[in-house]
Formats: sequence, structure tokens, C-alpha cells
Amino acid sequence: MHSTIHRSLSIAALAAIIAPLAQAAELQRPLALDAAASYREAARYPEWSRPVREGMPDPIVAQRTPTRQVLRGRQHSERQLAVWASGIAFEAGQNVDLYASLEDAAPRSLREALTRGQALTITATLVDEAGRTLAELDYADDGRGADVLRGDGVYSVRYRLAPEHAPAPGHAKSIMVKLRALAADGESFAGSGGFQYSSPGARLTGVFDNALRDGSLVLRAQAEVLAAGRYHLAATLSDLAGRPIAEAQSAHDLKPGVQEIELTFYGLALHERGAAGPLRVGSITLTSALGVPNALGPVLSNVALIPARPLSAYTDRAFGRPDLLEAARRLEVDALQR
Amino acid sequence: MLHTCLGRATAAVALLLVSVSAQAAPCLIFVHGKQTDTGTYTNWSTARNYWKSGTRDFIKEATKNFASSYYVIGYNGSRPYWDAQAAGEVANEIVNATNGGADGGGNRCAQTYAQGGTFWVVAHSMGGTVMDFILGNNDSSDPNYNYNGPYSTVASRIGLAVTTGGAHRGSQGADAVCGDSNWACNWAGSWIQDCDDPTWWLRSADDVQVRTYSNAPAKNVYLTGGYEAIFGASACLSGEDDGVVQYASIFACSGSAGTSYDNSNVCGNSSKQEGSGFRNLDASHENHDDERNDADRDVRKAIPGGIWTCSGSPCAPGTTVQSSMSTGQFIGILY
Repeated sequence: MHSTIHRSLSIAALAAIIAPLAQAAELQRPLALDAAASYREAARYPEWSRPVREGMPDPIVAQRTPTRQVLRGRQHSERQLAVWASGIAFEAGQNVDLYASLEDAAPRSLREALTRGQALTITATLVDEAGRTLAELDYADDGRGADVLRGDGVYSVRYRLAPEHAPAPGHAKSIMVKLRALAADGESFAGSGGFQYSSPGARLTGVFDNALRDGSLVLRAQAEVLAAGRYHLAATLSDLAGRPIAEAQSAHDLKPGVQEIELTFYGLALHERGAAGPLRVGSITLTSALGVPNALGPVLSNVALIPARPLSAYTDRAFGRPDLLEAARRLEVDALQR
Repeated sequence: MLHTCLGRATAAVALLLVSVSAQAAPCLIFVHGKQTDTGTYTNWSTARNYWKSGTRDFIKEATKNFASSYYVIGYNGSRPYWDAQAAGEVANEIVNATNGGADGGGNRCAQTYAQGGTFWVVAHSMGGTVMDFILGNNDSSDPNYNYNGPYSTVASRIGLAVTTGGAHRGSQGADAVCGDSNWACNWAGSWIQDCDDPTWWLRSADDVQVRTYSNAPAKNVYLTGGYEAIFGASACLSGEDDGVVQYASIFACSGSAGTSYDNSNVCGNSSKQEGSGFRNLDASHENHDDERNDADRDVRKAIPGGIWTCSGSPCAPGTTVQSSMSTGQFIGILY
């Protein structure tokens, strides 16, 4: 009897360890109502122009800031190979700076310091999606070329994009960087990163103009178009301190030649932030959307100054997107009927 | 006589309530993940079986024993997420569902969009990436507006999307396979066995990320995913993962797709790959397969910005909120 109780308690204790007891928890509210509330808020702005929440980074810059790809050497390895490029998209004749370093997978300062100093041999192959090899590269940590500081553990190589591999105007190629690294202690690593080989079919000329229309700010950008097709213009409006306030986008089918493209920042976003100006076009980029991958153009910064205007010049009216309001209504009806 | 009339009236009210309840439930539209062949595209039963494991059935649980109507999409999961047979096919099928059309198995949504129906998309793995592309290119001002299908109609008609194990930022597994480091990790049982076209486009490099080619989703994408390791593969991924996709991707985080996260610190709703439209739900002790086949009814945990409340306040990240609930069952309690 005693042993039976003892065994039962042991099993119960084991079960408790295996399946932790859940706290009394419930859903905040029906998911439908959560979505509906967010749609009613979002419906105040058009889909082509929205405010940037205070404290958030410039969305165009954030999306075009290259990120690091990391991969461990083998199962349970304490180290990982980190790889990154100096940008996301490059054009013919431009230098692509590629970087790699060996890092502690769970950073511990002393260990990291020790591993970073280990000598590495790093090589890479550049491959396009069709499997064609563009180049074989050797990385170095010698303080020359793309390498900023000798012996800092960051290995680098510079590659100039050859025009003979360039995509047709308006198009782009995805290029993979396949890396092999060998640490001094014999552990080997592999990884992959990448960048886009872009041939934009149109460029911003640097000529900008702005005007007020129906309580919103209209930005006009001049572009030189080489290849006919669809183009996407996106820009962020910032205050003079560089804080982003609103973003806007537009897309157009353009013919070759010098063209003017318009972009509208919905006035409500400026009105609500009290952004009478002066303001800046903090970032702007023109993308060739003739196919996927889109050919990304460069991001230009602080290209135009928008003069101060009375705040009342900007609309205080909610846009009232009918699609979102209808979606919210249906979700609310669903939730209330249940 | 009176008794009979009352009985009939009661029955009529009950029937009406059942009818209202069925109509109030959204129609669930299921979008599977990456494939190594065209099976789910050419044979609907293969797409349906994607959501099953033996007698367990994710769709049965999500629809509360089929009380809610549903539609199962089969697209070509061996093409990149943006391809006409991937995003294009999914968009066309969603519109068909909202028009009252049947899927390959004869299943239809109870109400069409014109009749006032609501529609939720449930997507697993690369299905999440496909939905990001569709919902981020629905407006004429978007870069790839209606690229190869009726994205704008999809965006206007669906109420929301839920992704489970969504590869929103790609997969480090794809990085490994395409970088020829699969010798170091065990991807043998996974759908990323070689660097085929969709795997190329599921790497975590910036130039293939869906966020590079789309805007914020037009309708909310709610995020859930697993943290049960798969032997071998998980040891090569950063932070928590479901054995194939790491948390930074499952929860659509901004910054590096290789950032190491766990249930206590995974990115909240203001640190997503887009400025709006992505929201956390919770995390489950499921692996990448469990997330879509109801095989494992296990612990669920609260995460930052998630949906669970404890004593009236948001549960602390990492809190066990359910001790035995699959993601299929979880979706069933969301409506």
C-alpha cells in the first residue's frame, strides 16, 4: 500500500515535471475584435501613405540596411559563422564588400574575445540562381581594401561587379555568397549570404518639387527612364532632426525618357504630429518592378526641403478606407453573434 | 397541441441559433507549406493529408469537428513563394473560396463574400511567406500589385491570417542547405533537403526576403509557432526553433533573421519586419510538423505581446498557459 502511494506520488511528480501546470489563462478578447479594432485605426489613412510611429526608424532605411546571416559550424558547436555584405543591392561596376567573422553562438565576452582572434581561412563562391559561378573569393583580415582593421577578427573581400554578368535594364539577379571557413583549431564552417545584382531601369535625377493638394503634401520627383515598365517610388518624410513622420508610395507605368512621378503624403499624419515644417524628404528610392526580383535602386537621403506651412493646411480628416471599415464591421458582427 | 407548438418553436429557435452560430464562424482557408514535388498542386488529397497525422487532423480541430466550413488550398510548393503557381494559385483559390467555389475535395465556405461571409486564412511554414507576398502587394501603389493573381480581392475579402511556423524571414535551414553545410546538421527528414528554387528564396539573405518585395500586410497576420527541437537540425539554428524555422522568422522579427530569441524575449508587436500588420499569439511545444498535423497536444507558452491573459493582465512571457493543446485546437478557440 505504502509503496503504491509512493509510486503514485512519484508518477504524479514526474508528470508535473514533464507537463508544467498551466496558469489560469484566457484569451484577451476574441481575435476578430482585436483585428477589427486595428482595422478601424488603420482605416484613418490611405494604404499609400501612413504615419511612422514615434520612435520607430525610417522604414525605407530599415528595410535596406543589410543584416547578418549566421550559422553554426556543426551540431552543438559553440561558434557560428556570421556573414554580411555592405549593402543589399549593387549595380555593374560597383564594389561589393563582403564580410565574415567567427563568433561565439552564446556571446560571453572573454570567450568571444578569445575566439575572435583565431586565425581563419575563409573562401567564398558567388553563384547566381541558375547555378552559374561568378567568382571565387578569398577573405582576409589584413586591414587592406574592404578590411577596415587588421586582426580584428572580421574578414573581408571586395568584389567588383562585372558588367558582362549584368541583368537587362529594369531587372535584377539574386546572387548567393557560399562561404567555407576553417578555424585554426580545425573546425570547419559553411554558410551563405547574398546580395542583389541590380540593373535599375530608371533613376531619380535629383530634381524634386512639392505642392499642397487637398490638404496633403504632393512630392514630384523627376526620373530618367531607360526601360519601359512599372516603377515604384517610396519616400519617408522627416523633421529636421531626422525623426521620420510619414511614409508614402506610388507605382506607375513609365515610358522611356524624362518623366515626372508624383507621391502624396496624406495630410492627417502631419496634422496629428503637429509637423508644420520645415520638413525633409529623409529618404527616397525608385524600384524597377518589371519582375521579381525587383531591381532595387539606391536610397537617396535628405534630397528635398519642404517649407513650413500652417498646420491647418494639412487635413485633419480621417481617410476612411472602406475596405478596412467593412472588414472591421464583419469581424465585429461575427464576434458579437457568438 | 400547445405542447407540440412549443416543441416546434423551441426546435425552430434552436435551429436558428445553430444556423446563426455556423454563419458567425469564419470559413477557414488552409495554405500548406513548401514541398519537394508538385503533389499538393496536382492531387488535392495530398494537400488535405498535409494537415493530418494518422487519425489526428489539424483541420478537424481547427474547425471544431467541422462545425465551421473550410477550404483546403493546394498550390505548387516546389516553386518560389512569389511564383504564379504559388502566390498566384493561392490568390486565385482564395477568391474561389470566397465566391462559394469548392476545393478539390468538394468543400465550400458556408457563405460567400457577397452573402456577408468572413474568411480566415491559416497558413503553415512557406504558406506564411506566400501570404506575406499577397497581402503586401494588394494595393495599386505596391511594387508587385496583383503580380500574378487577384491579390487585391484576396486582401479585401479575408478577415485575417494566422500563421503557424511561418517562414516570414526565411529559414537558417535553407541557408545551411544552399551553403552546402547540410553535412553538419541533420535536414534529412525535412522539406529542405536541397537548394531547389523555393529553398533558394527561403534563405535569410536580404535579397530574397519577402519583406524586400512587399509592404505591410493589408490584413493582420497573427503569429504562432513551435519550440520543440528536432534532433540535429535545431542544434544548428539560432535560439528557439521548431527544428526548421527559427523564432526570428516564425515571429516575423525586424533586424537579422538569425537573431537568437526565446519565449521570454522574442520580438514584440512593434519590432516586426514591417511597421504594422504582424501580431504575436503564443508559442507551443511542437516541432515543425506538429504545428500543422495535430500530432502533439502539448504545452503552450505566453510570449511578449501575445494573446493570453493571466488574472486580467497579459501573461508574463514564458508562462505556461495551456498544458495540453495543439495548434489546431488553439485555432479552434480563437473564434
